[in-house]
Amino acid sequence: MEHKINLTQQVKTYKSLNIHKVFKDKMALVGCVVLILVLLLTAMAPLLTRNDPVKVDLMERLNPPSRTYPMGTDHLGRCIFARTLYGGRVSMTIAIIVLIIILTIGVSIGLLSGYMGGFIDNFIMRVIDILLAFPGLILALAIAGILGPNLMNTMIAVAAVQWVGYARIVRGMVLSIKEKDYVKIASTSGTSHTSIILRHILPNIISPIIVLATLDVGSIILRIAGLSFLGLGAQPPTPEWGAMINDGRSYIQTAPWVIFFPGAAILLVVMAFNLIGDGLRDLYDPKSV
Amino acid sequence: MINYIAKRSFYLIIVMIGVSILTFGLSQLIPGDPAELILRQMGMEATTEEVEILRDRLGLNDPLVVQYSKWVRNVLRGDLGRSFRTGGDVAEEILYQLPATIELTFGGLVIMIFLALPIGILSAIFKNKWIDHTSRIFAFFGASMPSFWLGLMLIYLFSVRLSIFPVMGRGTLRHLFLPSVTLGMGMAATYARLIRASMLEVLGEDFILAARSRGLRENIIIINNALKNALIPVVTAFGMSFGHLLGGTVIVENIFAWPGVGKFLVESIFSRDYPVIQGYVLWTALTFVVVNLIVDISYRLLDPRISTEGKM
Repeated sequence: MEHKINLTQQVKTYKSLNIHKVFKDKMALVGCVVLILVLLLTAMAPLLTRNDPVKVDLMERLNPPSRTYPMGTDHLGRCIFARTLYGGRVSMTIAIIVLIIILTIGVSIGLLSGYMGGFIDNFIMRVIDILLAFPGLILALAIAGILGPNLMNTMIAVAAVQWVGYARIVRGMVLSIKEKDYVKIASTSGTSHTSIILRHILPNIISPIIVLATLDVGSIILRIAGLSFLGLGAQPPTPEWGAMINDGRSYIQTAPWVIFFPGAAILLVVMAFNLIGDGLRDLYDPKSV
Repeated sequence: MINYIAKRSFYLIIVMIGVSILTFGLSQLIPGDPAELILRQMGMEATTEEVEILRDRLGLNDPLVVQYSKWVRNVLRGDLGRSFRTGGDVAEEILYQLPATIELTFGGLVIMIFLALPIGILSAIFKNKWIDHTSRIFAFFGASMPSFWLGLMLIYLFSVRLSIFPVMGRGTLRHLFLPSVTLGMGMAATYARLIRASMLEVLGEDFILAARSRGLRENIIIINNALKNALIPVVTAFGMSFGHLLGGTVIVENIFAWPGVGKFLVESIFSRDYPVIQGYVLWTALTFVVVNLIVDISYRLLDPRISTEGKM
């Protein structure tokens, strides 16, 4: 009993130490605060502005920031403030959905490849080598371009390119865990493959994968915004940050605010995710422990 | 060494075969019938019969394997097909636009080196001093900044407000400056940190201590002894980020109306000019793979400590 209590205490101190370390890293803390703030702002968008993000009002086009339009209006008289807030919902939701797709594909294929080994592993690794021979953005651009410019196709294109990294990392981790004694014992005592994967392997790889995923959210947001900027992702009138910047390009000489605010929003959110990811990575980096 | 190069070149051929299959596969993603599309692009209201004739002529009715082998044979002869939009030879069109893209890539690299090298070295020498902290903030900004936004902000500041640089187009060095900064900035941020980390590692080595104890001047040690060794791992990282550079040119060329391959690609995407998209993808993959091969080989030439035996 005493021993048990001791153990739980140990786990507790270890956990609180970890959390303490995250917060000790001030940059990660800044990232957390910024992200929470942005999430709150986007969630409360209807409370913060009464302006409709898609309502066209040609009488109000290209207005500079004012009391009614805190960030000005675009070429169709739409409120940039409302569009930036609602755009945050779009951009972040898309990034999270794409991330979930990438994780599901990447982790399953990595598990399969590492666990099965042999021909399947070889085949999957060669396919990955081939995919890595393409510069990511360009392959995504080509796939999205060929499928046709819309948000769904862009999400498919980004996911089709990005899963590769996860599959490779997961495979590597599985290969090393597979050699551990407890996995060998489980397999000799007749535990099924599914159960070994789900109960012994998956729990061991999940935390480093979460760290990697956090670091990746920023780059996914950037990539989707980039494709939308080129005109491939979100289509009008959807408020999406990359697409908003694309809309404002032609008015850069007279109405720079149309571009400035959505871009600053991307910068802020991506930076927040990078800061958090960086803090988490330090936490899991064996060198720093 | 020769063994290694031969092995890697063989591996490159295997990868390129895979790349060709995948690139060919892209054409299978085209929604609708390509033959009908070609006729429509030519402004014809196509009947089923005409579509069928064209399908036959293009070989679209052949089995996929036959289509693929025909396509590969053409590609090997340098024939990437004809552009739907301009009617020109795709390979020629790409070659025609290439110098502008190479110029931009080169400009981006120069900016990257000019920023990353001094920042990286200084933040290693003054570790945890204000220079180092500033460079860390610079790195975070650089990695999080959307390049298309940076480019537009630079245009607004330096071209619209201050009228120092031309807004867009290609021609003089002044035209090249802003696009190069846009392209080089993000990479510079990452590389400054890489150079810093690598410098710090090298500065802790025994041979630096030996050089110091021989009484060599500190700046000579840093340039002659430390930097040379610190740059080796940076070279390998460059191979991987060359892909970013290629992707970056597409975005930068579109912001600055730079008449290169990247701008041509995006125009082709919107006019559904599939042969150009396919040709471009194949071309970038080849460049990317070859650059990585060169990087790997030069890495081994630069650092004799790395064994070339048994490693791919």
